[in-house]
Amino acid sequence: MSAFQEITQAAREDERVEFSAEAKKKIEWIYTRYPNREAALLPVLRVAEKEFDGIGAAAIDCIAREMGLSPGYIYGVFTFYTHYKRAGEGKYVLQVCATLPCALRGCRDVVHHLEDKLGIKPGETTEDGKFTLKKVECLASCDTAPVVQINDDYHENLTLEDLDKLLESFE
Amino acid sequence: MSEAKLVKFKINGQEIEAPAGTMVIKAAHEAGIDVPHFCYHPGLTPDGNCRMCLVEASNARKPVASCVTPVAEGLEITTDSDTVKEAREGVLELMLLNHPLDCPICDKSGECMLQDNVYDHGPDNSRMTEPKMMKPTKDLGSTVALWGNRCIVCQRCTRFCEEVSGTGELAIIHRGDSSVVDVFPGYPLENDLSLNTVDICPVGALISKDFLYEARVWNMKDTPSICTGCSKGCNVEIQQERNQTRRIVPRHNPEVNDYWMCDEGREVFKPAVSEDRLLDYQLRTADGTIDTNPKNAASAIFNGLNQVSANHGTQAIAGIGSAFMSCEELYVFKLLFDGLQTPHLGAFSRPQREAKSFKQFEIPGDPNPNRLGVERILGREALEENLEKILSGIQNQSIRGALIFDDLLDWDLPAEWQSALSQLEFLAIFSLRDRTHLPQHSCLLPATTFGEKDGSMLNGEGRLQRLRIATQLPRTIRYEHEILQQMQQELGMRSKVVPPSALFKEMGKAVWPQLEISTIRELGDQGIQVESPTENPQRATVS
Amino acid sequence: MAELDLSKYEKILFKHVDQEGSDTIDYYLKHGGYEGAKKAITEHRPSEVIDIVKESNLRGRGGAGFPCGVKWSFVPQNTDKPKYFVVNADESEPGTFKDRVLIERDPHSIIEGIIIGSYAIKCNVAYLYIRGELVYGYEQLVKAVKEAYDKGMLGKGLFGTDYNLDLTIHRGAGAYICGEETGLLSSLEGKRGQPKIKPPFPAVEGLFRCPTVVNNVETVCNLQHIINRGAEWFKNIGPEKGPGPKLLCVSGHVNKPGTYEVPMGINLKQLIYDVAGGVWKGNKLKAVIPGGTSAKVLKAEEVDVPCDFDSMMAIDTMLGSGAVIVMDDTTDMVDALYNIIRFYHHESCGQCTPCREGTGWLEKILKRIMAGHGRMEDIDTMLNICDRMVGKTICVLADAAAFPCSSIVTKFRSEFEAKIQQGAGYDKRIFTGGPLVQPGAVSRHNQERRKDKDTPNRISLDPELISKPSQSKVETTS
Repeated sequence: MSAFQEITQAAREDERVEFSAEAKKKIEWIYTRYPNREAALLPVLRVAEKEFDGIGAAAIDCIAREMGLSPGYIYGVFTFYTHYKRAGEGKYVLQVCATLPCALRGCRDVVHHLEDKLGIKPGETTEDGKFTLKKVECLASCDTAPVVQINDDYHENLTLEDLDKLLESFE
Repeated sequence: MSEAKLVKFKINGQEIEAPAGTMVIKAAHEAGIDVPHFCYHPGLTPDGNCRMCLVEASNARKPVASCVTPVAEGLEITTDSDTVKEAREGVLELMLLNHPLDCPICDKSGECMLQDNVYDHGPDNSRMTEPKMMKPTKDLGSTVALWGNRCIVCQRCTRFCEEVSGTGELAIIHRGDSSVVDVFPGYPLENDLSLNTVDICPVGALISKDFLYEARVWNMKDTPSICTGCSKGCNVEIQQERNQTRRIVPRHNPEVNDYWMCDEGREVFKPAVSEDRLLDYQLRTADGTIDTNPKNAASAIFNGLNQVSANHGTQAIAGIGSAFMSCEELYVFKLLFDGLQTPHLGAFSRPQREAKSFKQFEIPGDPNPNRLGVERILGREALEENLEKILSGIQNQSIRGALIFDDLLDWDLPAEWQSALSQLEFLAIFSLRDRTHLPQHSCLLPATTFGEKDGSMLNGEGRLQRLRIATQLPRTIRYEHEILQQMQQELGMRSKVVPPSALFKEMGKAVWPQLEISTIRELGDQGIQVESPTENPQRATVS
Repeated sequence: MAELDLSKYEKILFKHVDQEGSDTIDYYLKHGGYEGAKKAITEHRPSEVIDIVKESNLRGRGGAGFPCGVKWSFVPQNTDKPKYFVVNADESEPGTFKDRVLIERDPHSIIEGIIIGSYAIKCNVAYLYIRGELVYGYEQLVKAVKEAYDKGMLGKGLFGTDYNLDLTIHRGAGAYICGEETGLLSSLEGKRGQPKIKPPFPAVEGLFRCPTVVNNVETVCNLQHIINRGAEWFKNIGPEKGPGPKLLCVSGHVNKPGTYEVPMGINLKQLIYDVAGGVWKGNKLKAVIPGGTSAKVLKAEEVDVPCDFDSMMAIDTMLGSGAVIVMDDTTDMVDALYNIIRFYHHESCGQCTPCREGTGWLEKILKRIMAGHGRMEDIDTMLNICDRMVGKTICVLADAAAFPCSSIVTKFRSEFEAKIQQGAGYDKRIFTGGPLVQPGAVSRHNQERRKDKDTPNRISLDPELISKPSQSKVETTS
């Protein structure tokens, strides 16, 4: 057995997580909506996202056991999609749309403002684990640019003052 | 399944016929027309992602990927137009953008598809001046390591793990130009077919840790042969450099192993190059001195056995072959002991193990390459019934002398045999290893092994396949069949020592008279099905 | 060109979206909802529905503009396999936000369209794939589907017939490529959203290898109106070959950005200046992207053109998803292109070599030009890269990245040249090594590397690995 296996298998045992009964019920319902289990992967990842507050190695391991898929496969699918909350991201994930229509209406100022205010660069999380700043691609709200999606909610037509107020409301 | 309808179409003006549904690239390759490719592999479902095999087709405006374009009646394909050449050059330039071009230190160099294709079709330099992407270099498991920078994301390995092994450890992670093949942490690439991913990797992204920095591929010479690791008899290419086997890679045979082989089979040459391999003859003479001259081996054994036979009758000697001997060796062995007039003829075999079944590959439970050969030539009872009789014969002292073969790779003689053998008056043993624990009075003879023999073996499915010599024997060693034939000569049964090809002729007539195989060459590279795998034919033994 | 009198135009798709409670089934039923579906199922055979839609010349609103009825007729009639009807609500083309309004404000009109479409191709299972970011839209749809099940609009025995239909809302998770028909199907199958090889087309072998029709949200919302009012009525709206109401999204430098329902064929100039209130801050128009960033750009003098599929095609651009992005004369086109290409680089699925590597290379070149290290030959290199990307890949994302690039570079070449000249503070004699040749640039570059390292979705750029040959070490951890 290589060193590789020893290290990671031990880690896996330590961090093992399980779905709650409620989540399992939800997953069972999801299965009924698709002709095969594989197809339920994206919705199940959403369940795991809520259940474990972001998806990490332990969550993928748990899903693999639940769905009977290879963890490698889930890992490949999970990393393809950018919108799932990753384990270790802050309580509030600030996703600033940086695509052309928003860029034309000043999203860069929003990003810079947030960088200054939070002291982090896009892709980073504040030390207190409260905010994660992300630059994302088009959020389909170009008429109300600039837009920031904070967790599930869109905040549109933002001015820097609005943004400050918004951040304060989270504190 | 009914035969697919043949359709006529043209490649570069050349009229070609192929069954409907064949992909253009396959038809072109079969017609000898080169279509460069990366992601296409005949043993996997086509994926069409590398875009290297673009050709012009009369039914499409844009160039099409020939690995996913089925042939159609009247289709006209062009593989050498300027558009195609420009497309190939474009794809290759892009493919090299983030490739490190570390060929001088890459194991794949020399058999790298990227290297070959760029040499034939690629640009002579890159216009990109920015830094390249960096991807991880790491272990994927105990057998395979990843050089992420070299990966061209052809997805051959992931398709292999999905379709052939069905184990699904490998996945492409991330997307865009960050994509790279990887395993999920904690679930390494550990399956018995893992090294096939290295074979099919068109670049040096997946590397065999066993072969790492062992040899440069252009220095190695290839010999087609078969693996002797189990009863499957996978067709392989033995690759040796300076008379030392460096690597074994699978060779295509749709009837046996398709394009694949197991990881264990790749280790089968290890005993031949092992440090504790027995290289010298130790022939104990009557006055207790040790003779190491190979020329005296045959007479030493013959005299020893004859002595026993004279003292205790011919029934007091036994011969035990093994399921690792070639058919020719078994045949001579059988003739010899018939000549010595003893019924005690057995053969060692490695114990059965659990068969392993993958999605498109089976590893059989029988770890003996020529068990069926033993059954046909020595008789089915040789493997168990006779062995038991011989063991009890030795134990009750009715058998006093024996010649045994102990060339079963890493298999060791069971304890009861070891203690029984020490009771013998005379023991000659062909062995791969220096056996210090053997009885003092024995003749110890080095055995030959994988990659050193010429001959044939009958695999578990009844297919007779050719073994070829890849590496010359160490100078001190003689072939077993020569020694056995010399003993025959002493008995007056044979006028001269003949090569395995001649033995094959004799054997073919005696064992498979109905088949009319006259020479060993007829086995070719793919072997001949001499018995139907399903039916249970009458035991044909040498009479 | 003649301007349309929009005051006489009766809104069809957006008739109710501004009303209070328009997202509830009660409101929808009160205003003639589900009548079209009922009429289709109780009065027509499936083949008749296909004929009516074919007759109406309804063309897909997702981007390609393929005739909807013709697409349906490709579905094999005699097959034992299940069939699927999939609605594409993965609205992610930059500048597009039309479906979002329908999803959030009038979800039942989508469900009604789905019923008609599913009935036409005789399928009993439908999926709606909505992009993951639209959480509110997803909730609205789930609510609407529940209401529809409760009222018997979905489920078993629709409208008293023996026709059954199940609808599932499937949520994506942030991948532009899943808006591509076959990428969407891969994603719906629980795989990486990589587009599939065509042929076989989805109509023959799509979702779970069964016949599948994929339609855009806006397309299906037209169906009930066609059934209710007839194909003739529909054909009278706008140009005959691609008629109907069209939702156009105007964004960028305009006074009133938003989604507007207009008849197909409205003049682009009228749309920008009248409907969307003209260019903001009194600035002059510089360029317009008429159909999402994948479309070729139009210069200010080219905007006098009708917004319909064929007219746009005639001037070598496309109506696409109807996303009009307006740029005023203060816009830096190099920067705009950099932004566009960064988007495609980020969203390339990584399957085909030309797209995977080409988008990244274009981004690197543009980044360098933006940083003042451009070289004149970069312009032609970019055009050549675009050439090598177009038409060489499984899906059209490579084309979608190459079209804006080649058109912006060609039409605004002087801006690129000016930018390169401005920033030409390096030794031009050295052709390799790029920006590294300038003193000080080295450290800047290393900073860039370190920055990249911390960005998620990028494999770490370990500076140690860069300086050493990476082959010398096999890491033992992941």
